[in-house]
Amino acid sequence: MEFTLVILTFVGFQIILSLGLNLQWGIAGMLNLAYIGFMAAGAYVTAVLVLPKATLAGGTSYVLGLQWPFWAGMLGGIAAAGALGLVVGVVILGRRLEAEYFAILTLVIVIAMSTLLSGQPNLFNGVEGLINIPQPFGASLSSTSYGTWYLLMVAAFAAVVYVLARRVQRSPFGRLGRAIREDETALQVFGKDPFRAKLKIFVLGGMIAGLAGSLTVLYVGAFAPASWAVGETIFALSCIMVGGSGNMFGGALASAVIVTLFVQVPSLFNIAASNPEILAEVQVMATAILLIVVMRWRPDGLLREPVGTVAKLERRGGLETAHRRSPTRAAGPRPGAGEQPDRLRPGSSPVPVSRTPAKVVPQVRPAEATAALEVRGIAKRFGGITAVDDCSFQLPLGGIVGLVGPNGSGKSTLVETIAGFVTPDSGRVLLAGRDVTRWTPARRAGIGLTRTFQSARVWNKLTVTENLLVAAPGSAREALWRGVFRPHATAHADAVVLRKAEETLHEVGLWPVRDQLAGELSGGQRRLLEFARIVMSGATVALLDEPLAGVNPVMGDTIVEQIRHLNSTRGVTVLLVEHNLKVVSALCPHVLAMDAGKVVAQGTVQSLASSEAFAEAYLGKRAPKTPQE
Amino acid sequence: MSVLADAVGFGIVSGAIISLSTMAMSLQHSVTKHANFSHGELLTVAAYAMFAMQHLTDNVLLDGLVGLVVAALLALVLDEFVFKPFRTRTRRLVTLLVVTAAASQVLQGTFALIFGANYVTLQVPTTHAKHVGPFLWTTTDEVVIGLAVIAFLVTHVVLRYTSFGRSQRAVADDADLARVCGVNTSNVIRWTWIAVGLLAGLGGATLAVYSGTFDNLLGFNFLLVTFAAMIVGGIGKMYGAVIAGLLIGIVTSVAGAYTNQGYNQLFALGLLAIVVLIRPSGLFNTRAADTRAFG
Repeated sequence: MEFTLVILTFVGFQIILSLGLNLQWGIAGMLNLAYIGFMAAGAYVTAVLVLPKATLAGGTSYVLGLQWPFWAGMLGGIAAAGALGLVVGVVILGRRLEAEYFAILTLVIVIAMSTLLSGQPNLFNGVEGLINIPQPFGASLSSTSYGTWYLLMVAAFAAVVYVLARRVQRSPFGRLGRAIREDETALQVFGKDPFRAKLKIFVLGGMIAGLAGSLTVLYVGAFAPASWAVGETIFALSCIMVGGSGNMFGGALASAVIVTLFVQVPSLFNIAASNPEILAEVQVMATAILLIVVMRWRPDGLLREPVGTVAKLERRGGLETAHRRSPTRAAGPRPGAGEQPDRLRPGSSPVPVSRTPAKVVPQVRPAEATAALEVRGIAKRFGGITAVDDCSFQLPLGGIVGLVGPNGSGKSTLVETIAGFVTPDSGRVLLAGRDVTRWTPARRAGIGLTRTFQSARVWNKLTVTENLLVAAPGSAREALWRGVFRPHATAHADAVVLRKAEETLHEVGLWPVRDQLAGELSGGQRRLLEFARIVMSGATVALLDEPLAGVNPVMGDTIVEQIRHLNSTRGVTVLLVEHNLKVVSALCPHVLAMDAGKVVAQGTVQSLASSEAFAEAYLGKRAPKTPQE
Repeated sequence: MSVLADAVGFGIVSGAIISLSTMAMSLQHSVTKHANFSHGELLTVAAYAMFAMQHLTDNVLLDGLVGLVVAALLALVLDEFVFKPFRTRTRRLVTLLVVTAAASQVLQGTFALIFGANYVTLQVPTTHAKHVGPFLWTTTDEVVIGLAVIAFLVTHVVLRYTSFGRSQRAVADDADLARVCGVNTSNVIRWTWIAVGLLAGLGGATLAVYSGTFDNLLGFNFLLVTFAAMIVGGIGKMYGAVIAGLLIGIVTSVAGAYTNQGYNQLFALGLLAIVVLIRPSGLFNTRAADTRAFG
């Protein structure tokens, strides 16, 4: 009986540990090999806070001797793990590293922690570690009832963390996290900063690990560097990936089953008795083999990540009737708690998205009626190659302008520069009269500039509807605390955006595939999804980078129609980069022609066709002088 | 003065071993385009193979040779049966990274099961230190340095002047382009892994001889130093690998000599962190980071 209690308690620790890691890995896709280090931080700090002044094994006197009550020690442990997460997160998440470098750096962190603490005899007693950590509830309970009480406490914590993790996952914040995992760059063009969301998940996951460490150290009464080898992170990760990355239930269940099995199986075969130090190795090893095998057949684990949760919630009733009855209250139960406008239209008073009607006709203040976008003397060199050379033009508000030119003429670099992905060597970019030359892509998107990419970038493992919900502005809706503590209010706010998303899906023609994963769409459908996202984002200026590339002719017509719709009905100012002159002449009354990094001609397509500069560059009366050559 | 000279001499020897491991990793990364977190185990397996061979023969060079072959075989098997299926099927690099990390744990566990979790001792001929110029080196040290130099020259000649080397560099530069130009890429990848195993095995064998005793974490403890040298030297650059390996060997050794010996690995880790955070393309990378950003 007592043995069962011990096993279940350890299962509880592992479940808590798995939930924090599943937030980081499953939702945000961060491969944090230092995860176990956060558990260690929680454990050490808790131990240090609750330990009495004592003489340690090495003869050194224990320094602090604070003797805090166990709950204060736990809070301290969780806070320490969170603080560690904050520091580490700010340093390494801020650099936007590739996944590989992120993994290597986290490995560096945990090894460095281990090396430092092992050689540090004073505070944490080096390799020997801390022992005799006082147990909560002291001697007031018999050992059996103590075991029961502790198990209940661990179970309660596990339940709380489980509910928390699920709420995070199902909230708009969790959806944002999943979009980060799928494609961070695509998120920036909708004005969302991946860094802050990642940092929040990193710190939250770290705090959960800290809680697990805290509970473990109070139960076991000892903690040493050997308890938190890198293999422990791989073990926790393996359990999650087998159970289901991003599936909180699957990850927790697999952790529970695997831990239980490992306690049971070796005792059956009596391996444990003969070789206890190898047992840990075998556990990690067998789980790693299991991981490799499962990954071969089900790369996302046995249980799938729940998708489209809010939409499903909506359809199940409840919410729907609530906001139908009172559409004005649907943005949130309190005025001001709903969707905050975080996007300014040029010359218009900010319009809350929840109220935005289908047709957006930009109200133009006469003073600013000049240009939605202006480029002044932009130049960009890569090494010795001049990609864009003193380029200037204007996009009239509500207009649609084509940008044509042979390959290598600098069109793409120009788009990258306007969108903020490439910093120009000289020149300025003005958006509705504001100088945005030094702004990040996300900040530009915040005042209404968005773009598409040459190869469509959608969030593959989000449904089509979810893609739209992520693209909609939503700093309030997507707040982490709101998703956790006010799930219903958040779902209400989300339902409002969902209605707009459904309208847009009908309009764009993606309604039949609304619940499919975006990764399953055809090339043309992805394009349509990109346009739908632009509508949802409420952007006022859109840079469309070769939207017809790789799309079949039938779908091509639909796309042309959608671009026209975006411009004329939605009032979005469009810069269309396209090779297909037929399409350009059908859509754009005004066209810019680029060659060798310069705008060499402009006018209608017809007038351009008779222009010598354009004909030379495009139709090849002489060999085009492309910068690459 | 002699403390510094000794530390530098010591650093050159460990730098030579780091260089071997780094050349292997750099070669692998340039072709397969992913980090291999089980790289260290290629070193460890060579060391254990040497240890096992000592029951048969006292000839250290022969033992070492067997170690190299075993490491090359392991590299080949790992890629063929574990990494390759993920490389070709998943589009997510991170999954592959987790798989290599899992493979590392599997191998460490296997070593522990076969050879126990405790340290084993390699019987090597004892040699006495003597002054070579300003440095204090044993014959073993000289052999280690000599082997590293030979390995570097052979790798250089093979990559630069053979048809395999040409194909290998083509695949490293652009695998798809190489394939349409008639290069048998899977064969190139296979031979690359064999070369990786041989180089890493040589690194592991020399490391084991140099350390005398080791456990199943021998190579894993060397993993981050190798990553550090690869990133500092620039991925795929053999000169970079050797220079960065020596640099890290000497820096850690000298820094360790003047501070706490137990912390000398931290200097390598610190260097790695700084390079990754500030210049992830490597110190010796001449290509501007800007050009590869957007096409």
